[in-house]
Amino acid sequence: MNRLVVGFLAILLSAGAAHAQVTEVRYALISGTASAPVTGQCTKGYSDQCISGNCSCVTVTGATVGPFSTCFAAPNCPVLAGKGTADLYLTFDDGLVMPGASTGESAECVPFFGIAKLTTTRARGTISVKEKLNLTGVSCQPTTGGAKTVLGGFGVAVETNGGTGFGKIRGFYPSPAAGPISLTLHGPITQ
Amino acid sequence: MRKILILIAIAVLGFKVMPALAQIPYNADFQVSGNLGISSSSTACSTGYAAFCPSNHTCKCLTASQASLHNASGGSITIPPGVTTVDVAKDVTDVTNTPPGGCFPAYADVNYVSTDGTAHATINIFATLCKPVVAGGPLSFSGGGAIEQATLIDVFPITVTGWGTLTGTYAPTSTSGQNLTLDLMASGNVLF
Repeated sequence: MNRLVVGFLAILLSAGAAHAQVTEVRYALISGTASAPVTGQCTKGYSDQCISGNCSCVTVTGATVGPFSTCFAAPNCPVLAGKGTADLYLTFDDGLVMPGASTGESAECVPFFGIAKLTTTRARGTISVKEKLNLTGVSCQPTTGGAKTVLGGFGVAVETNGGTGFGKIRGFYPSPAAGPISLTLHGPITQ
Repeated sequence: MRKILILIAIAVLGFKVMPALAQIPYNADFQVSGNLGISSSSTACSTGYAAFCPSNHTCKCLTASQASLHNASGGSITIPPGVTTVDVAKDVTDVTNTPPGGCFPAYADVNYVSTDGTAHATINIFATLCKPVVAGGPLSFSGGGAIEQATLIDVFPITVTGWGTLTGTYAPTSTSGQNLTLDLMASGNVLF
């Protein structure tokens, strides 16, 4: 009888633990193909802002969401959102470019405000998640050419299961127009 | 006499539109340190790129004391002793999430003038200021910056242009000493 009670308690505790929200530093990789910029700001959520009045909108539809490559080898890598797809809307504020040299060079670090709409599953596909992340940062053009570097931050705006959190963004953005984009995110996420 | 005047005029005009004698690419790591205060005001900063707070947003201006600008890359560009000011406008309206309010856009500028007045620089910055990713750690800056109107020293005064990515830390609980670091990985040109 005692064994039965202990068994039931163990099952109840493990079920509770499965649904308990935990805060830890989690990681995600969003990679896809960015569209060519279109004149004007995007119109989705946090991306719908153009401080200078001179903006362009870049969209990424059907991007892949998954863990960092370094996480594939780790058995218990804390993943942000899980695996699935994302649509990104990025407003680049071209008029807010940081003033650069007085010699005619144009500085090429452009601020952006964006939103990522994620549709994913986690916990081996047992939990479905829809999530909106607000993104902001800059995209800097290397003087030597090649892909632009993205640095910034993000926050969880909406998560269907009540998840919250924020973190940092680092990645690459195509130059000069459409092409592959890759963003890595990490930060303390409660989910 | 008239011909001589015309020749002088042509020479003067030619000199004015003459490009720099030499333009050499460089990579340099510019670092800023200082003590960034905790703002109690709800106003934007008043000068430069840090004044770039949207009119319908609330920004808090943070100003650093005991600030200094260094060149950490060990290159030939030197930054003589001088006075550095740092202003950071944190846009609290445009926070990425509420609650808990994790990351904020920040507009900043760094202004430097050497003690003897021969060297000066302005660095304009847009970055995201995020709460600590790891409990107990500092806040972090992630963004980019551009060098504007910089005259630094490489034996002689030189004009330096460029831009690049910027990272940094800010520990507001540390009220004394150096609680701010900014690191601009810049690429650009030195004009002789």
